[in-house]
Amino acid sequence: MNRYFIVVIVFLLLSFQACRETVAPKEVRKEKPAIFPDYVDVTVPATIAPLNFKVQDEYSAIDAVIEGRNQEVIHIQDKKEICIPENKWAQLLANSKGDSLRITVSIKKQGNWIRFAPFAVHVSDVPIDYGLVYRLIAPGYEVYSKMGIYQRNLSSFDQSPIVENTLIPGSCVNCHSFRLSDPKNMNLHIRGKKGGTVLMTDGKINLLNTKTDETISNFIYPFWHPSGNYVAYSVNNIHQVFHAAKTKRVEVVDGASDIVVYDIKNNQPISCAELMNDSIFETFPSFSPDGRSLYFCSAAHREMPQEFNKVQYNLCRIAFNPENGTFGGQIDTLFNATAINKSVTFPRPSPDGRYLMFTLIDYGNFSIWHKEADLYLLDLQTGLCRSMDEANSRDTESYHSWSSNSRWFVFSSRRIDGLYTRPFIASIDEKGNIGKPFLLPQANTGFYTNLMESFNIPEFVTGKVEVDPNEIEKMIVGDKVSQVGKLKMQ
Amino acid sequence: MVGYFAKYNWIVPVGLMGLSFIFFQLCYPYHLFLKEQIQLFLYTPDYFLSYFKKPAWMASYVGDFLTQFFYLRGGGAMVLASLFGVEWLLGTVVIKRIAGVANAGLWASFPVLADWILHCDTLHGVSVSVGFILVMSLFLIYSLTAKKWLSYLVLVIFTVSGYWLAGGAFLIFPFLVVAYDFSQQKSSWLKGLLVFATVFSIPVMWRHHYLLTQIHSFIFPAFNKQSLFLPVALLGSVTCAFLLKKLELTHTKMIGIGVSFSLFVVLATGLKANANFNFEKILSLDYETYLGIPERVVGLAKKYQLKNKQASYFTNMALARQGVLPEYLLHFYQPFSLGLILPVTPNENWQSIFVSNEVFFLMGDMNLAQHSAMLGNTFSPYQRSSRMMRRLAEINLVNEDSAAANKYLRILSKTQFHKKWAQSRLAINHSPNTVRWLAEKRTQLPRTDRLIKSNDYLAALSFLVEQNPGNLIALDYLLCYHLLNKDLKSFRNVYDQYAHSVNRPVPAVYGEALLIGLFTSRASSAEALVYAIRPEKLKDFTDYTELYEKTAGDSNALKERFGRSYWFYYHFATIQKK
Repeated sequence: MNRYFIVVIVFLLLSFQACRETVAPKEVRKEKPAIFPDYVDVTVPATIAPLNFKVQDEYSAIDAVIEGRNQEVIHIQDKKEICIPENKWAQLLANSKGDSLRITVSIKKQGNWIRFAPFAVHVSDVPIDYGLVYRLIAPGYEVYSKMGIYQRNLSSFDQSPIVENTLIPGSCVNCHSFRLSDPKNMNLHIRGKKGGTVLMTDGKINLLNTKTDETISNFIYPFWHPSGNYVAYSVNNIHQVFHAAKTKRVEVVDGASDIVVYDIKNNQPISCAELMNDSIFETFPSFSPDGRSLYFCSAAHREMPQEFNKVQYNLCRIAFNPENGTFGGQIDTLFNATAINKSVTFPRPSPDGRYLMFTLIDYGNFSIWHKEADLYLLDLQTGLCRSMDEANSRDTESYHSWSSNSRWFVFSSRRIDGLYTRPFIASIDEKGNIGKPFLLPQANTGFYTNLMESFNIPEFVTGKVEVDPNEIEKMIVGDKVSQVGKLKMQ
Repeated sequence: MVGYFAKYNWIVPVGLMGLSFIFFQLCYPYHLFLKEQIQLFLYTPDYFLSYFKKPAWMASYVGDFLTQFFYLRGGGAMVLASLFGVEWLLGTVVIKRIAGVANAGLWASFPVLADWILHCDTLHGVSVSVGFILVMSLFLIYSLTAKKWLSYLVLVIFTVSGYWLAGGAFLIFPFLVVAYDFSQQKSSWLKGLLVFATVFSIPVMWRHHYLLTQIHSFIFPAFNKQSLFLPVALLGSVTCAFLLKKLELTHTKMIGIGVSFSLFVVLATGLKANANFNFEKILSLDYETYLGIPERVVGLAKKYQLKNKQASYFTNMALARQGVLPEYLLHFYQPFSLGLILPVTPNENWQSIFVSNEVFFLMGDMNLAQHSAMLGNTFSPYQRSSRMMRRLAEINLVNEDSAAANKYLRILSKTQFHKKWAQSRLAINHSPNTVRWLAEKRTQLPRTDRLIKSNDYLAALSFLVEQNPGNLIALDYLLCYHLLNKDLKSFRNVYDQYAHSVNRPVPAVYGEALLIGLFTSRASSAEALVYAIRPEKLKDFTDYTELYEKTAGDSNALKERFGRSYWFYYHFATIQKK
């Protein structure tokens, strides 16, 4: 019995092997293939999950030969798409660090094979963080239906939820943020009838009610101080409005906004007159890596929503003393966007302190729905600023986050279908040279086509976020919320 | 199996299936259409794998597979009647195995009736019925396994995997096992305890993995606790059959008559309590709107004369599509402007949000239509709606955003029943100008931009009319919006600016409203003549005024002749808060 079984298995395996055709191309094209996702000539980290792809054409079979260093080869043939075995891929990448893979793709059309010019995938020897954390949500609207914050291991296709609002019905989860990509120090908000700000410090979770009499709202857009002792937040009076023009969709505007810094040890928000100016909209705070500067966006107050397209934010900085939690008395303008009739959002300094990346749009602060939104890079040493053309597209590029070693960044873009944001990752070297970005790989190429949710706020993490949903649920349901202290004004 | 039924009268199952088919096909078809519209079944491996993220994957997958047939006329009734037949068959064997009674077929009708009654609710999914069938099948496999060691093995496998396959319905499994073992006089307390403990602890232990609330983990894939009535009805039937077993030996006929009578009472009271025939009527208006047949909507609205804002909403859209909204507006119930546009707010139920995009699409406000359709999809129970997908594809086709349109159309291409529709729309992308509806819709689009708050419908309507005064549907909606809110000043301003020059006889409601304005402003005959109001309207207005004065504003005296006039509405319509 066993002998027959083995014979059958061997026969089946040989049959499968025999199914692979020999590719004898009748036509050899000079151009590289148009593939989805576009991995042609991209730069990837050596630990990235397999870059599965398909050719954007009709065909009855597809063949790919992936050659690495030391003549290592992976050969795949399929009817639909190229799905690379994870183990072989990981080995190939590990052995090709600092070199390039050469990928030759052929497709079979009307019985004949067509071979395309080979393309390269550059394998960087600079490591990337463990994974990404993002929210999956239907695009852009005030939704309290199903959503969740998920983490994804970049070396595999494993995605697991950190929190889903199915656990706390009627809630909205948003604004996850980490201290220097550390998974043990995390902020996220849970909004709804029951909710609060979940603040995890060194793995310990607290639930905070962040509304005070002195601030106009709960804490909203967060950014951790590198010491882990403070988190900067904006407080915003937010309104959602809709465009009438078909090329635009939705706008979120602030009726008022300020910035506070939450002192975790003393459970107290602190601020100063310069960050709580009624004639100014202040938002999107972020600390410099040395923790001594607070960057933020600042715009002159306008009547909203009537003057929505006249609100333009500059990139500003104010000194911060982490020893005693005090602010400098002067605001510097680092990038005068209004002078070029533009507006800055999401200032994010690289952890090495060399660069600051931001999004530039025509007006307002809701860059995610602005087709003109592009990424810009400000060299904090030279003061030079440039558009990151290597990463930008004709559609929206908006939220972005640096890896902990400052050599990779992830950003959300609507370039695929103009409607759903997808995460792209790109390399950046010490001189600011940027590699061609690549779409976060998925196990099958139809993943993004079928997904009805946007990837929102992609953030790097250096390890898996270990959160017990039970603990969060108990705190929310049991109303175990701590009230933050009274605002301390400098 | 035949041995179990040889003695039974086949009238019971055939009658149940036949009656339920007739009920769902003739009295309740539109609920079933809605059940399909809030689902999207794709033939892709990814879609199949997505079912493993939650418990009850098999029940959910098979249930959703069957739900797609609700798209066909008669498909839903056929699927449900067949499911009821299977439930009856398995239920009879289960009761026979445990209680060994002669009337098992009658007792087995109770869970079938429970499922029938529950299916009157749009949120009671087919997956719940399939889960129930799975649980009965698992129990029968266990009870029919003769070898002791094998039955233990089967029991262990089923106890561990039952929830994973069938969901909350599996909670009755230990009851059935214990009852069966008891009836076979081979009960073991330890075995029973272990099965109970395992089955009930699995939802608790796994709920954080599946990210479900405690209650939801016990009822999944159902949405409502009332879906538990289905497995509970089987337990009740088994218990009653078992308790009355001895009595049945001597009074078989009497028990049979008693059970039959109880079945009738259960069905009658259950349908009375759970079947919402008013909502069925509203859904009929909705469905005909979805199919784009305004004549049918108006015909049904005339027949039903519903006093409901959703019914008014569909009727008004149908009238507007026929170009007669201001002519017949007050022939139907109008809850002020609430019947013109359904608000999209957290206070609205999901069904209302689900259909709220229709009017924006009709008027040409694609951004608000898209907003409503997105929310319609996300707030619908499964967050994947075939109907919303179709609408989103259409919106993006109108907006000339082919990348976004293609996304939705490609997804729909992977379905069984929306594939053809999607492929015809994909073909449109290559020659959009040849498609009349698309060309017409594109003429409605605004040429400039403005920001509008999500629920500021007056601003949205005004902007559409400003941008395109030839958009008669938007213009009529704007004018009717003012009239239904009794804002005659704004009505007159909009009328003078845009509607006066429209080449059509002055519609009835506009003429009546204009007369009030002219009368109150003491306009001269020459001024009145400019509006070319129909002469009979002038006479009616005089008669109304005289009667109103004569009866000191008695609505009863005016209602018969003037009940459908704007004058009557203006004087007597009031908002009644519930």
